[in-house]
Order: sequence, then structure tokens, then C-alpha cells
Amino acid sequence: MPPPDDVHSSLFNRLVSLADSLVGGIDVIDVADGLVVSCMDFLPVQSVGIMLDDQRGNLRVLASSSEEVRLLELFELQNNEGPCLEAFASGALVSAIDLAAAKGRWPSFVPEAQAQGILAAYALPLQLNARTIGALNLFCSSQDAMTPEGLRIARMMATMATLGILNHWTVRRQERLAEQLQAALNSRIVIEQAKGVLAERSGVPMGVAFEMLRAAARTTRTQLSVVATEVAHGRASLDDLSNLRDLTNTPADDSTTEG
Amino acid sequence: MRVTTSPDDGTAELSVAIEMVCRMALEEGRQEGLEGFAVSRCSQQSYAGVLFASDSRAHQLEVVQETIGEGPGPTAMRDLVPVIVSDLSEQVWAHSWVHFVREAESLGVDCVFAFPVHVGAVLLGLLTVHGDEPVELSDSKTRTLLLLSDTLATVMLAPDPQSGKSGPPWGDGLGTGQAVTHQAVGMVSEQVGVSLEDALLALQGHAFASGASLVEVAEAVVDRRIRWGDAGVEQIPPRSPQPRRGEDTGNAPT
Repeated sequence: MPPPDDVHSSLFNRLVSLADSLVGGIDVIDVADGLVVSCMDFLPVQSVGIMLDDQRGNLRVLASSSEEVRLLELFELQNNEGPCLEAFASGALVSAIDLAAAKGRWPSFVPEAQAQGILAAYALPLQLNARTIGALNLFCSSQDAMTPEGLRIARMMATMATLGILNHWTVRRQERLAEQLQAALNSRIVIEQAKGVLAERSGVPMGVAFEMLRAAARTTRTQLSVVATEVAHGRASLDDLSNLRDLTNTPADDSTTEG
Repeated sequence: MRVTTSPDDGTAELSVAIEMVCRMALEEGRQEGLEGFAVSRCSQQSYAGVLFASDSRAHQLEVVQETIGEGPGPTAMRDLVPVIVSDLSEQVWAHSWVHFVREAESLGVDCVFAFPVHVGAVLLGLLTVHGDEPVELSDSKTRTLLLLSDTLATVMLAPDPQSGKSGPPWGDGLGTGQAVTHQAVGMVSEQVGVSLEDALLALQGHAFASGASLVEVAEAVVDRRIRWGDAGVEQIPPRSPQPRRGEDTGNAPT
């Protein structure tokens, strides 16, 4: 285990670069994905997701640590019950330190989460001006992993997510809120379209297609949503995609549809 | 009645369907200061004909924005997000839309709410609601108008009111919130080699013809039970000797 100083300084550097990303040309998908990846890097978690109010009565996934179908479905399931829905509705942190004990509270969510190896779950509301616009979900594969410091870091991530999604200067006006939330959801749609194009072209599951997008963004140092837009509109070449597959170490397999 | 892209074909039926869909929202809306509704078709990010207007002022508001090219409608079409103007007399609007504000005020309009009717980046139309007094759009009214714009998207892709797809007008409509729909659009655009918009139309056309919902067709595409080939939609035989759990080939829409 690295000495605490190294971890702290590396976390500090990451926070600085996340903060920078909020003042540059803000790309919601990039910010959200960056935060999800940072939570994975610095918190004792198995998976992370950011969910957003679509203003129609649903919570939609804006970003996820992995886009394996089972994980995404677990997030979506929380439209009916679960820590995320509670955090969103109450505007307060929800801690299920022992998920098994919460089975009565969330009879559908808990068994499905446990089946994915999740033993503890936390949800932090994304809030601005006392209005909750979504939630940050953290799933842990052990019960004792999360610490108070970890939750403080998570809260900082949640605040940054909110700032990345909403331009807080303008959203004091209720009017701007709808515009900005819907714009964030629109960006997410392009990601899904790009996943479809890649999944078809390379014969890979959706989860792998997403990793290919991420890898391409990383190696070309472009924003994830820019890569997704190019791929979705058929403007990214096949050569790029073969290289991307190598980067994610995934063999093409036409028969796989799970993911 | 098959959907076509020509504005002269099927417009009357489409207008009837839209009016049916808007009627309930109109009645509720009037109780909260939302006086008039208009729905325009859009093509290439611009106005392509008013399909429904609840009164002449609503109609005029569309004509004005189309003519001068500025206002909540043009902005909503360009950015594909709702444009909410609770009080047109505020300075910020006069700055952005000098001509529109003047025209709208001369019509007695004091608030305007423009919602794009779209599926992802595919813009199909525009819903514009206005009032003659300032109105703070509540969360619940925002929700109603978003759901209405989703439903209008379904209607505009499959305009036949007798299409057999019944259900409450505020249903999921196109399933526009579902990731699987957009993934299928990406897959089909790759399979056929067409734009995302044309892929969406192909999916919806197939759903309409086979009596399935768009989401059902999308799921079949993403699960690789059907695909678009040279000869149109093809069933894909399952790889394993037995159907996978939950995949009865008899259920695949064709």
C-alpha cells in the first residue's frame, strides 16, 4: 500500500485537473466520466454511476464506471427503489453499509446488487441551490471499505459533477435548469448511438464498445463526446477502431450479445 | 397511413393526431396561464409548416419566428433543448431577440415556452406554448410539456391515429429515454450505411409495420435477433442449439 502522502498528493493533483476541466470548455460527458473514473481510482469502490433527473419523472444514467448491461440495469432499477432514488428524493446522503440488512427496504434492488458482488452502497445527492438534480452512486464489494474521509472525497466529486452539469451562475433562474439538464441528457444519447455503431462494426458487446470510445479519447487526447460524435456519424475510420480494440485487449466475437 | 417525408402527404391526418394529443394538455394548461399551443414540423433545423395551432395568436407566433428567424423557437431548434421564457418583458430577452420581443409583445404575448420535438439529434418538430401573462413554469408543468414533446415525436413518426398503438397519451411514447433505442439507431445506421436519422425512421417504420413498439424492435436489434441486410430486415438464427433464456425466437418481431 503506498504511503498516505503519495495517495494524497495524487488525489490533490487529480482534483486540480478536475477543477480545471470545469472552467475550460465544459463538456458534460467528459466531466462526468472523469469524475466516475476518479472515484474508481481513489475510493474503495467496485462501481460508480452518476444519475440525472430527466424531468419526466425518471433518473437516467449520465456516466458509469463500466457499461456492462447488468450494472447499467442495476442503476436503472433504482427508478423504482434503491439508495439513489432515496438520495434524490430526500436530498440527503444515503448509506447502506450492510446492504443485506436493507433487503426489506429495497426488496428488488438488494438481491440484484448482491448478485453482482455488492455488499455496501452509498448515494450522494447532486444539488445546487437546494435543488437536487440527480445522484452519485457508489457500490462497494466489502462492507468496511468506505471511510468518513472517503465519503468526504465522494461529496467533493458530487459537487464537481453538479458544477460540471449546470452553469451555476445562470441556473439561479429556474428557466435555465431545464435547458441544461436536457442538454446533458442529449449528450448522453450520442454516447449510446456511438456504442451501437461500434458494437455493430466491431462485433463487440456494448460494454466493450464504450471502453473503446474511452480508450480512443484517452489516446487521442480528445473529449469523449467528440469521439462519440465522430463515431456516431460514421466519421471515425475502421483503422482507428482496430487499434482501439487492441487497446482494450478484447477479441472480436460476433456471438456475444451480452454487455 | 404510412409516414412519408413529403409535407403534402398525410399532413391532414397528422394534424388531427396532434390536436388529439395536445387537447388534454391545452385544457390543463389554460388553468395555469398557458393560453395557446402550436406544433410545427421541422426539417433541416428549420420550420416546415404549422401542423396545429390552438388559436390565431399561437399561429401568428410561429409565423413571426419563422419569418424573422429569431426567438425561442429557432433557438430551441438549433440547440435541441427547451427554451423557457417566463417573462418576456425582462431585459435579457430584449437583448437577445430585439425583433421577436417587439413582435410578440404586440401580439400580447408575455411568456413563451419552446420545446423541441426530437429523438436525440434528430429534430422532427417544435412545440411552442405561450401565455399573455408571465408564468413560472413549475416542475410539474415542465414534465407535462417534456412528455408531450416525446409523445409528439412518436406521432410525427407514425401519424396514423388508427395505428393500433393505443394507450394513454403520456405513455413512454418513443421510449426516447431508453438507451437501447439509441444503441439500435447506431447499429442500424452501421448495418445499412445510412444517417442516424434514416436509421431511426427505418426502425420506426419496421415497428409500425410489424405492430411492435419501437423499444421492442430496438431490443431485438441490440440482442442481435434481427438486423438490416441488403434485403431489408432479417431474422438472425440463434447461435446456440437452444434459445437463450428470455429469447424465444417466436417473439422476434418481423
